[in-house]
Formats: sequence, C-alpha cells, structure tokens
Amino acid sequence: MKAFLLSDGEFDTKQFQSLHALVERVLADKGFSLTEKRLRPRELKCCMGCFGCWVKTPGECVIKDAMADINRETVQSDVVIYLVPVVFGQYSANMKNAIDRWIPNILPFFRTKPNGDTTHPARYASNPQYVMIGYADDLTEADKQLFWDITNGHRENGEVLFYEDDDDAMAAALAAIDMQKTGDRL
Amino acid sequence: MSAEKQVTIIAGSPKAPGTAVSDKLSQIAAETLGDTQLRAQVFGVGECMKENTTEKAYAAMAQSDAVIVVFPLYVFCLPGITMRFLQDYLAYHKVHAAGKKQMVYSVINCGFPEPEINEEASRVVARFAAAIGAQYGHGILIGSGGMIGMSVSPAEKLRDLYRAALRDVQAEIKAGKAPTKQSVCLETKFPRCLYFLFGHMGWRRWIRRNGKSGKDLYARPYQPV
Repeated sequence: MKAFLLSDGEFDTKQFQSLHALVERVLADKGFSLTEKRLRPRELKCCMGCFGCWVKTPGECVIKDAMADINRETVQSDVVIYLVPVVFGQYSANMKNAIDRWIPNILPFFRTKPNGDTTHPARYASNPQYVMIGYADDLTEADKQLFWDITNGHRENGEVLFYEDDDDAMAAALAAIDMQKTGDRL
Repeated sequence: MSAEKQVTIIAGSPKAPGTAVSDKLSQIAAETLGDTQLRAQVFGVGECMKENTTEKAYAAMAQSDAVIVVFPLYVFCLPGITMRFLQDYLAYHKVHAAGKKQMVYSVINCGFPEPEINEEASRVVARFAAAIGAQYGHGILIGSGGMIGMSVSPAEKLRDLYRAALRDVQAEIKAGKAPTKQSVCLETKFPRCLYFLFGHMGWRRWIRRNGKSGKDLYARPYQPV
C-alpha cells in the first residue's frame, strides 16, 4: 500500500519535526511504502485560474513545476497525508498552492450534493483517502473549527486531525483510520 | 468636516490584470466607495508580486482606515496567492504597524450559484483581521460570480445589489464603526439548471476550440496501469 506525505518546509518548526517523525513511524507500522514531498518556500507557482487543466491538457496542470509529480503521486496512492500549518484558520500559502492546483483531479462539470451544495465530480473512479493534520504553535478553537469546516465541510473522503504536541493521542488517531482508496467520493 | 479616510482594496486574483472577476469587483468598489470623504485605491496582488511592489501595497494597507480584500473562492477558501499576500503582510505588520484603528471587509465571488459557499473564506479574512488587530466588518458573498461582467439583465441586477452592499460598507467606514453583522449574500435569479447546462456546454465548446473532443474532458493521465 502506498502513502504520500505532503508538507510545508516554510514551517519547519520543532512541532513539525515531532509530527513528521510520528507520522512516518505510524505509516511504517501500518506497512505503507512512503513517498514524500516537502515544499520549499515559494517552490510552487500559484494556480492562475486558467482552467488549462480542464480544457488544454485535461487532467494535468499547464504549469511545469513539481506539481505534476505531486498530482501523480496523489492519484496513485491509497492515502495522502497533508501536514498543514494552520494560518488564519486556513492552509498556509504554500500548502494552499498545492491544494488549488489539485483541481486537475476533478472534472469541470457541476453536480449537486445531497445537502444541496454544488461541487465538481471526481476525474478518477478511485481516489485516495486524505488525512489533513493541522498544526500551529498557537492553535485556537476558532482556528480548528474553521479549518475543519473548510476541509471536512466540503469533502467526503478524509479525516481532519490536529496536532497539539500529544504524540500518543495523534498516534492513536492515525492508527484508528482505515487508510485505503475511497472510490469516486471526494 | 472630517478628514478624508483611506480605503485600500486588495484585488486577490491570480489572473492577468483586468481579466478577473475580482478586478471588476475591485473597480466597482473603488468607484462606489470613493468620494470627497473617502479615497479608494486598488492594488492587484498578482501585479504587486510580478512587479515587486508588494511593499508599496503593504504601506498603503498599514496607513488605511479600511482594507477590503476581494478574491475568488479557490477550493472553498482563499487562493494561494491571496493567502501568500496576507500571510506576508502579517509579518510586515508586526514591524510597521501604524497603530491605526482599522476595519477589514471581504468581497468573495465563486463560480457556484450559491453565495453561502463563500462563508468560510469570509471567516478566514476575519481571522486575518483579528491577527492584525483590526475590526472585521463583514463579507459580501457573491454566487455565480462569473456573470458579474456580462451584459445581461441578471448580471445588471447583481451589480446593482453589489453597489447597494458597498454603500452600506461606505457608511460604516465613514462612521468608523462596523456593527456586528452577518455576511451579505448576493445571487442572481438565474435558474440553477440553466446555469449548469450553459456551464457544461461552455466547457465542451472551450475544449473543442483547443482542437480536442468533448471526450477528452474526461482524460485520466495519471490512472495507475
């Protein structure tokens, strides 16, 4: 089974290093082969909103940088774990660039979810589970709620966790997740 | 007579200058807010980064009575480029804060019909405002944002609603206080099923203009073999 780990090198704090080591250990215990990408500050260009990934090179971003490998690894993994610095209750700028440029993996069409919200269908019939782990030195309850709402409020194939320096709690939470492909749910 | 107040409008789209809905919304905001008592100035995030003039925009923000952040919704929150701009402004603010009492607003547009889907992004801007010690007014949330520049009746109505919402913001900035208020949601009265239909037809037309077929929209380049 394949796991892909994406993290933000701009926030290479002690807290991040502890979390990173912990996640590596849990994935090894679960028997995953791990591929990792740690984003260097400003390494990724931002999404230009051109929709080229839908109408020029469908399924692939037109910007040539590390994002092609990130999207390939994402699609071909069973689980993708994002270690996300939480800034203003959202993903840090680096991580947000990677998340914005994940959209080649969805189709341009609209569909209505059971709750009435609009969304886009998945491009692939089989998609990885995601696990978003938010961390910050001064994580507030408001930040956590907002981060959860942005992420799990709109997606169906993942989990949101927060790392607050409790290794045992995080290890137990990760161990409890059945990390495998989630079909066409996004 | 009170002194002139300054409003800085941040156009947070990564698209080429003048082509984005957020640019249009920023331009309307500057025209509607600006008068003898308010001076409104627009800075494009993409242009600032490309032309290395971000510090100039930051200096204007630090001196402003109000900052309005205008951006498109990308994957249910702020685009990476807007996030970079605000994240770096926080570092700038820690050094250069002018100690002014400031208000922050957001104008958020999305391609989906329902404006409420922008709500979390408005909360992110509220968290930004709190981080720089400013008061957050509210968000103006716009659904079917792509229609804003069109010359059709529902789009004209949407622009009128937007201008009316901006006049409330203008009054609050002039008064120097923003009452606690829920987001203002603006949407067209265009039928949802037709919006979807025209959208889907548009994608098929667009890909054919690029020399591909409608089936190519479904390509799976990273499908594991």
